Amino acid sequence: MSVRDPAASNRPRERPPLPTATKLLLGVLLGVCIIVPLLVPLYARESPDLGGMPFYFWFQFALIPVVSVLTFICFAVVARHENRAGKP
Amino acid sequence: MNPDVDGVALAVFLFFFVLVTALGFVAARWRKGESLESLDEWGLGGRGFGTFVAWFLIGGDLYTAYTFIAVPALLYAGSAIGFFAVPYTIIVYPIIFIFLPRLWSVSHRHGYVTPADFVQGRYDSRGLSLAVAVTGLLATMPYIALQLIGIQVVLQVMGIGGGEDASLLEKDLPLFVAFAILAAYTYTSGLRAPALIAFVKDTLIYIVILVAVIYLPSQVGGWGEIFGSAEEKVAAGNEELGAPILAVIPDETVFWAYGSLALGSAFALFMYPHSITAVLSTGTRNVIRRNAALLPAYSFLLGLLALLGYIAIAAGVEVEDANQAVPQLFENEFPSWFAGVAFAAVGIGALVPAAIMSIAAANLWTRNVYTAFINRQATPAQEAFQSKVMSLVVKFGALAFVLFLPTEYAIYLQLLGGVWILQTLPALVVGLYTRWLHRWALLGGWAVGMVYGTWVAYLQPSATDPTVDHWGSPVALPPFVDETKVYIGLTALVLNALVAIALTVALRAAGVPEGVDGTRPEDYRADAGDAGVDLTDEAPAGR
Repeated sequence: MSVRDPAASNRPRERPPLPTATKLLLGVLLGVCIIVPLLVPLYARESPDLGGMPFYFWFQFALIPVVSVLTFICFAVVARHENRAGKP
Repeated sequence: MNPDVDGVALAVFLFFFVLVTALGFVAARWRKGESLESLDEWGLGGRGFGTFVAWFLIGGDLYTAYTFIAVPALLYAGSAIGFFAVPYTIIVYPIIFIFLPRLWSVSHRHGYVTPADFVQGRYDSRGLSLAVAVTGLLATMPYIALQLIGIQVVLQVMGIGGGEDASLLEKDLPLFVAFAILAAYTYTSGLRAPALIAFVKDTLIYIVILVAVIYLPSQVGGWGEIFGSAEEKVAAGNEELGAPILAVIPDETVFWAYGSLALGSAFALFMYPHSITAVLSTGTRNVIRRNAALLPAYSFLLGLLALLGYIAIAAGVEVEDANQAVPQLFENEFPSWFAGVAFAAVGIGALVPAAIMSIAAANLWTRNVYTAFINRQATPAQEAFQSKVMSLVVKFGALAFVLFLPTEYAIYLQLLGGVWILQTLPALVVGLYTRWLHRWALLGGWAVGMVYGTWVAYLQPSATDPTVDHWGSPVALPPFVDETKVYIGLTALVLNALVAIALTVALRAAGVPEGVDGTRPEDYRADAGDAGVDLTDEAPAGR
């Protein structure tokens, strides 16, 4: 999109909602990201430790990059969809 | 002046402070728009920040100096649930990913500056919008005061500002000067000032924390030693209290407290006006989404920082006020110049969020009180002027608060702020998807949630300090439950939602008018470049 068509700017660009399958995928990925850190009994334990650091701490640290990557996948999926939908 | 002030540390601290002051004033000309005389420019930095700027800005905004002081202080004091800050700041980003692009789109298409603007447009109700705005103001003001407390703690450890016997003037003058400067450049540069200063703040914080967690453990005998000494301190503390209240790893009695605090705080965090201000300043929807994946780097940092509370125990730091534990650790273990860098990181860390919070609060006042009720024909220039003046009022209000009231009040109010801001969720977040809830039902639910949450918080004694009878804990037993304590804000939110649903059914049956929806379904998916959404310099290539 290098030149803006003045007539086009007066009507909303076609930007349909995400397909159901994509929504489902995003829901599962983001749901995992939100729910797993809340399952405290899963990780509130001493062992196995990592270099003297109890499981409780290093597991929560390990969740951070995992959630970050899953969220990035969601971003890539949505961005691809919107890019395609945005083109005429 | 106090004789044991470390001159080198102070000089380094002052150097960085002067640097960010200069940046704050220069920022007025950075990525300059047509004129600063509108809220889009002054209050939202031109609404065009890209991924890189936004990463620093939002990170600098959400991870405040007070967080950096208070989270390790919780662990230092042996709180069983202190580490909840980590899951809390993990789950906030997927939540942001889901909700905030919709708020961004509808706000850009309709020129909304505050969350209460959206509520007004969606529900056609100045009353509900005012409730959301007032909640935001009430929750933000003590948060600004806490940033000042963050600076105060650092100044105390550095030895300036004096001890108990210092005169009022000597004690508070440095704080006053720091805040006057902050107020001046926020006034002239608006949101661009904290956006530019955030680069310095975040860089310093990353350097300091990484050096601390790499260097300090080897000094005190490794991680095994660190967790061992934390266990010992906790055991000794429990013996003194006569009950197993403290812990390093939470046991099953506090699982719900831990999880509900993480979930409730995550929802509260992104509804705070200063978070929404930072998010609305971005140039495209995808800047928000991409940052939801990149911002967790700060959560990692926060987790490491929290562990400094245990390192302080292992290093033998003894302080009366747990908030001083980490600054004292820096002073004890680092060479003077690096301690100065660390203090600067915390001090500047207070300035960025304080500036954004005061801008957000000022925008709420201008848009949802001044323009909504006092001067309904306000021009953009009048709005910008109102906000600038209000940003000063808000900051000096916070300063007066810290100078004249006990520190505990700001902490209690900050605890309440989270509970309060959660009560705007049904109007704000549910409103992004459906208008099924009736506007007056939302107002009723909000009122019930506010009163319930405040009252229950008031009733909580502290588990560790027998002299504290009220506002002692963010968790309480929900109604009809007699064992498991849950975050008060979340319980109040459930009550709020139930009331809103019941009232909606009743009001609809009675045929009470629902107002006109000013938004359309496609508004929630609009992006930069679409009709009615400003095309920014970032937009065409911004994906």
